[in-house]
Amino acid sequence: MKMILSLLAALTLQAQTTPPADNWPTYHGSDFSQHYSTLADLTPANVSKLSLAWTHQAHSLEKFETTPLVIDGVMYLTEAPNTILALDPVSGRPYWVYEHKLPEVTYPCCGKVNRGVAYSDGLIYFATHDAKVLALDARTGRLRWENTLIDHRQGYSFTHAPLVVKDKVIVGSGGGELGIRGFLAALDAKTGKEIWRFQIIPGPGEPGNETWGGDSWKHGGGSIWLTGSYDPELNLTYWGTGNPGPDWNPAVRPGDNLYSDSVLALDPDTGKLKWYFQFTPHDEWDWDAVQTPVLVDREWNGRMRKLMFWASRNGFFYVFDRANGQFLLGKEFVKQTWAKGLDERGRPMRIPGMGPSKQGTTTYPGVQGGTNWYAPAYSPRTGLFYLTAWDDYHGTYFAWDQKYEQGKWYAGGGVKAPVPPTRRERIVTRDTSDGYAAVRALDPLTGKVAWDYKMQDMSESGLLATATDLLFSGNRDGHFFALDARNGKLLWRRYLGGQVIASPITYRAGGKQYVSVAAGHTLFTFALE
Amino acid sequence: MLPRNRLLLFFLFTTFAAAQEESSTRISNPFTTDEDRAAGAKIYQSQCASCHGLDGKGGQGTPDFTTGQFRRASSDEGLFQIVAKGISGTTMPAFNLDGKQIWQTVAHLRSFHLRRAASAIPGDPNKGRELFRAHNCARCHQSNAPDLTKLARNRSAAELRRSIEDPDAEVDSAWWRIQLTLNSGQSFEGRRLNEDTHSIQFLDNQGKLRTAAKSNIARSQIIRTSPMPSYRGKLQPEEWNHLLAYLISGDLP
Repeated sequence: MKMILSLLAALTLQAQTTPPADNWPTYHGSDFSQHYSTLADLTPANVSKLSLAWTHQAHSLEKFETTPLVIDGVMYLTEAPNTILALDPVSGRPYWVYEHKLPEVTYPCCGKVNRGVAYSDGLIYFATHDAKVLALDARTGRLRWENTLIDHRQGYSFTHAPLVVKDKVIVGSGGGELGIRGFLAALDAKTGKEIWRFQIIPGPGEPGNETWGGDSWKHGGGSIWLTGSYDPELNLTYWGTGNPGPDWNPAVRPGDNLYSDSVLALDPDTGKLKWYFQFTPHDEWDWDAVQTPVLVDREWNGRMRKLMFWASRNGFFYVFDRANGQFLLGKEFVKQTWAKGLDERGRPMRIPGMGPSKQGTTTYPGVQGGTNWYAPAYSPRTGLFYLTAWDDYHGTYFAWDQKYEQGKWYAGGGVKAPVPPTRRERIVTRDTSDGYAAVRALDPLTGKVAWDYKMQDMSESGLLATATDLLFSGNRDGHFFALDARNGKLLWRRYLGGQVIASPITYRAGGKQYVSVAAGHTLFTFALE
Repeated sequence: MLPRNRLLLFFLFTTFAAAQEESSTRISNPFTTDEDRAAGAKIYQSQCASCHGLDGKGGQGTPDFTTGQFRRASSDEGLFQIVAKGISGTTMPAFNLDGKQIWQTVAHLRSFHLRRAASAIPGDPNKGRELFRAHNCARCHQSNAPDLTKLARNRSAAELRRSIEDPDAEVDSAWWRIQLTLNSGQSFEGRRLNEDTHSIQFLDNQGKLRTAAKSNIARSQIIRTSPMPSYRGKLQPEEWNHLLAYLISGDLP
């Protein structure tokens, strides 16, 4: 009996850390956030026969940043600004639509976007632009509960897919350009009652508050706008935090500005901080650490360790021991001109004079960073870490004085660059000397580039790796494609005519494997004919 | 003292959220005094300049306000709507400003162009037109060379003169040319219109629009210089003034 129980426990653990074969159960595909699927119907040999199965056209013309879930034969998809749909994943036909009514003025900084939902035990969880968390009945789309976490008029907005950890739903807030004081909150999944709240910018008397000069902590930013990860064995949940505010006038916030631009390891039961690592202390460039915490169990220097891989917006790739936060490796993965390197504890050794200035300072990488929130992928088969990299890319950073006013932009400067940050241009004539994107495969043991798939324009697409060594991604050109995960060779592509600014997923329904990706204002779903 | 009709207009506008573009041309900005512009400049710096640049010339793919031409609005009211509501599908958000603040911001946006217009140079545009004809400029500039009716408005007289004297000094990538040879041996030359990871779009020298798949291209070369001849030393000082005054007037054939 004991053996059966431990076997069951092992199976449960397995199910949480790699996606159950047919489903795409969470925003990142699994608690470990590897964007890796064990489905194997599609292979390098047959992927060239991949063809369009169905499309879903969004009603919204906002950027389509959604990554759907597929749970036991139903797809859950969001449309901007705050609409949730349940669809048949074989035909694309909707079962229900839920439109959350928003107030006239909401405060998402950079487009009225949403990135997805969470599912657990018959409920769909969704976080809104007016700082509410909703639970819907997954069968009917009917509202079960709703909880308002903060007054959104202070610049708060929720855009990311919640994360369900055991009996709690975890959500954080965007607003790093509007002078918020960021937080992460856990709600009871059944009732919506708030159980704990972790203030990302510590208040007076709390550890870390001393890293903020004067009252600057009050509007210190530290947003959350991307879903975290979870390790059931360590019972830790990991989240990347946003930039300190104001973005480009660091003079008003002397100090390291904890816990901006950090990864936090929290106890999901209590919200207590177990460890943290700050990638860019006293950030001057808006390099949020809003990346996916990729969890990997793997041998490191001869012994198995619980690792975390992290490609930061600041241009460095990091490896940590995720049990205790020990820094194991750091190496730049794109051109950068702001740090001489990282010291033995992973702290950047800054090059003076590379921060924003009145007349403008040109620094690599530009404001979107060496990478950003686009999901990386990890394949346990190839052992490679895949990311969307922006290389040879710079920005000219300006600083100026700015007073805080509630609900208004609070950035303290600006950036000029030849490459638009997130918008697709239909005509692109500039060459790659101002920056280009690549699907970049890193050997995570060394941080060295294993291979590169270069693109003409930038890319905001996430990645998807499969157990058959396929690697799916898209780009700003408007292409969706499959590479050979072993060597980066292009195996298949389709021109979708709109930028991919989301992650592809794969699932099995009706006996077939599908691949879905949002591009332009449409969700495209492909399968073998 | 604030004239009553201004207050009334403002009240009407904000109360009825007069979004209808069709009827919008009758409502012009009621806040355009120097004080309004100064207030607008402050708002612009704190709320807009991060993305649009303190100089209004754009930041990262954002438009150049100094041209006085706005892609998504032609009226003050259209600009008001954009600031109030944002632009779907872009990073342009709705701004939490009251109606007067938005009008003042619009006044400041307009003033970028007024400043440029004030820097116009002495010269007789009519004589400039004659020079333009005499040198046969329109032969290229009305077909496959930059459209000066738009371009000249975006440039200072000094910038225009530099481009006419030294056409290679600054060639926008939209005007780069391409020579390419396909795997089949066929060669083309033309203006490069667009490029992505897998293909190049171009207008060939015979006037045909073509797309070449990069997988079919044996070799290619981008030409970043201009085919325009230099006019250095070919015009008298007063002729330069006439020609530049004509170009800046935007009243081109």
